[in-house]
Amino acid sequence: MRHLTVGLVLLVLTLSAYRSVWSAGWVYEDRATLTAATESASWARAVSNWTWRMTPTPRAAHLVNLACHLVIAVLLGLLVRRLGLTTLGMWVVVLAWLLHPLTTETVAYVKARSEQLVLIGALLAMIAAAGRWWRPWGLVGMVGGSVLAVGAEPSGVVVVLLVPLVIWYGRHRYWREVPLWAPWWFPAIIAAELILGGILWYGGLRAVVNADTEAGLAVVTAVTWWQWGLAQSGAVWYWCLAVVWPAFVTPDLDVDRLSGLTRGMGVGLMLAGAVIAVRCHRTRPLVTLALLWTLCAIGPRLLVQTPRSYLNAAQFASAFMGVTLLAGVGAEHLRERWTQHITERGV
Amino acid sequence: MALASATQTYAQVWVSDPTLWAYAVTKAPEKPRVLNNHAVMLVAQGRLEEARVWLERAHAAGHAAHLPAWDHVEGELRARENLVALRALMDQVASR
Repeated sequence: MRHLTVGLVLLVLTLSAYRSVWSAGWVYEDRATLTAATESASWARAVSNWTWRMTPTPRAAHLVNLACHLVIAVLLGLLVRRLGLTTLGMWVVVLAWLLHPLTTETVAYVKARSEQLVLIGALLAMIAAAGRWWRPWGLVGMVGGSVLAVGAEPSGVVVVLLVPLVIWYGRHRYWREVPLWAPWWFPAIIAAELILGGILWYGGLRAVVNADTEAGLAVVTAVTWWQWGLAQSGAVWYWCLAVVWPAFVTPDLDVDRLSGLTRGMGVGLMLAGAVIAVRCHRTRPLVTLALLWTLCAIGPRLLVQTPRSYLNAAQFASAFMGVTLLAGVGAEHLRERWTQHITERGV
Repeated sequence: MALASATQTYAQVWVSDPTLWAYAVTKAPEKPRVLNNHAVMLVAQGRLEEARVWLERAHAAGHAAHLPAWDHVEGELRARENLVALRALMDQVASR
């Protein structure tokens, strides 16, 4: 009953926070995206294109985005419970996802629905991977979720990193039941082969790194990988600040104005995250999972040079999920400390 | 409640293009794309003189040394094209 009440309160707060989108019109590249979706016969973004075609009016489009936001919250809650977070941690994660301004762009910008669909696909695959993944339904969930993620947006390939990560996390829980043909590292090998095969199919690492459009190739080749990686690192630092201080959230971040120091701080932050993830992998594996989730979601963006497309709030959403998991773990930790403190004082 | 309130305020920014770009220029006052798009919204609202000022700012911002090649395109080319189109529009309005 208490969970139902919390869920209803969060639902009402979310609908209230987003009531302006009911009457919102098309914004920025929404119209162009819908036009392209009706004309496109390409397999890239096929799932997103199909949903855009199904919602030709602004109200319908915004309602679908809002519905996707709620679906993601439910799936995220299910996943973190499956990963072992308590109900307190789960509600913190769901609350952060539903009501943080960093996710507003994915709801209010129809074009960002492709990012939402990536998240839905990735979460379905991760939920399947968090259980007995070697069973038929587990495999169907992993493959189906991955296909949905990649079919929604090329950046959905991040699912290939996230699924083995979740399987690695759950390796101790099912070690008695897991069949011999399905050790925890087996999906990681498959993922590595898929990544290598994908790079070769696309035309080699140089083609992947130099963005995915012909127009982009000509312009972007003048930019070195270091310049691009540092610029994106600056954006990572900025969005991490925006997680803590939501007033920083902006529709079009001026990454070019970020100083060298900020870019360096972004690199430092990611390195620190990686070090903490390694150090905590035995004592606090959920912290490791949350940090690696965030880093895996950001990593490809540091490499692939999509012209004039620095990391924006919608693209940061999959990394933000890892951050919300970290917040959930933190909330649990605080409660443990508080309970311990009260018990000691009582004694 | 604080998060809900912040989200509600920010969601209102995304209601239309004019509100979006008017907000974006407060956060990125030297980004050519933002300045250009804000100016185009002002043209659509018939505020031509204000739009001219913003387009000139976009053009100037497009020459900034720190910009990488692809943002020069946005700043110099698009702002220049928009300025030429705006001047033609202003001449038309003046001649009526």
